[in-house]
Amino acid sequence: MGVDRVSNNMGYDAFEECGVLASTCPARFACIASHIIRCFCSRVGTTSPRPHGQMFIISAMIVIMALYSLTGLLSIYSTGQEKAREEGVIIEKMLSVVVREYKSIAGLAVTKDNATIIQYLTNFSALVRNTRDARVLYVFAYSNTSAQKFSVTTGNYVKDRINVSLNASDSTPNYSLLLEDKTNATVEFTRTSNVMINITMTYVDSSGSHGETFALNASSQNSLALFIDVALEEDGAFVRSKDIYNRSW
Amino acid sequence: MRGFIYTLEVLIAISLIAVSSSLLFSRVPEKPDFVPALLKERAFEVLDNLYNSGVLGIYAANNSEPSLEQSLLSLLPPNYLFETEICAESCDTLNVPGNRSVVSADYYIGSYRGSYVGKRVKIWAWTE
Repeated sequence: MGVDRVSNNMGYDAFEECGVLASTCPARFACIASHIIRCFCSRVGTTSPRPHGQMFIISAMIVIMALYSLTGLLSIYSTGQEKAREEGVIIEKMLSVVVREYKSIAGLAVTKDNATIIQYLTNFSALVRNTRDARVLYVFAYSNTSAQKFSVTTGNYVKDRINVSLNASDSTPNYSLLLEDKTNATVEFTRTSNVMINITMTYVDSSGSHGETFALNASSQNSLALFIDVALEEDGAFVRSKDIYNRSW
Repeated sequence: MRGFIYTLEVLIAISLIAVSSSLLFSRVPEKPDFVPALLKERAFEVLDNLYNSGVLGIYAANNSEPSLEQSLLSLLPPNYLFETEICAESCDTLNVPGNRSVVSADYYIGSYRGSYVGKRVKIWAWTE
């Protein structure tokens, strides 16, 4: 950093003269420094030419403050967020695996009956829930064209009691259920036409009201629709995924 | 005498800076340990790789742990030691060392080729 050169009122360069005078001083840093300051002050007309000892202390304080501010740079290794991200990557992959497996279980409906699939979903939900810090909510709808009916199973594994309202377009009736944690309930709707049916599920838990809508293709021979909402938590990382799976055959 | 006082003042200032510096910078920042997280990620990815190649489902459905461990041996680096279990809710931790820093990862298998499996492949991993 440069220092402005200061001239006295006679146009005489104080720095130059003081530099010459300082060179005659014995080679001691403190002596030279004080000599220059005293000389400089007198040349520029300062009323108090003697540099007091406090100046050094004040300078030291400034340096200490500068050093203190530099200590923040040492936190370059405090990459806690990076570590959390690393954990988050793993749990996110695990979440995608869990969601994928829910879909594959629902897909078994092609060869298994509805009751069996519901049992599989119950077992798998219990497995996930009992082995991880997980919350799972699923709605599985199954339609068979041979009967003008379709069933909707809601599974609650969200660590909370929920009030569920179910209704479906072009279908009757509407349902309202109270589901305890780790339970499921199956209701049956009668549809009036073979079209795409929109199933709306609204549930209320301790955190508030939530709603989801998904479609079931009732125009096909057989069809299923699975709405899945999975949340996993581990080592402070939280991930959540909602997905819908449809299949007709 | 005056020079001596100035020298003393400068020495006090320098001492202040030196003491403060040593206090401020004495604590060596701790480097975060990424090894467990990377180990866990590697273990999970190896299981995912086996799933995608179609063999993990077979191992889980047939409960064939030796075959699974044989496959893992060829995929994990030699300094990675591991133990696996194909289990449901409770897994046996008999061969997992208690005096080492061990990470674990779960891989869930819901179904395989039209049949319900409902198991998890659990891997514990640690380094030499």
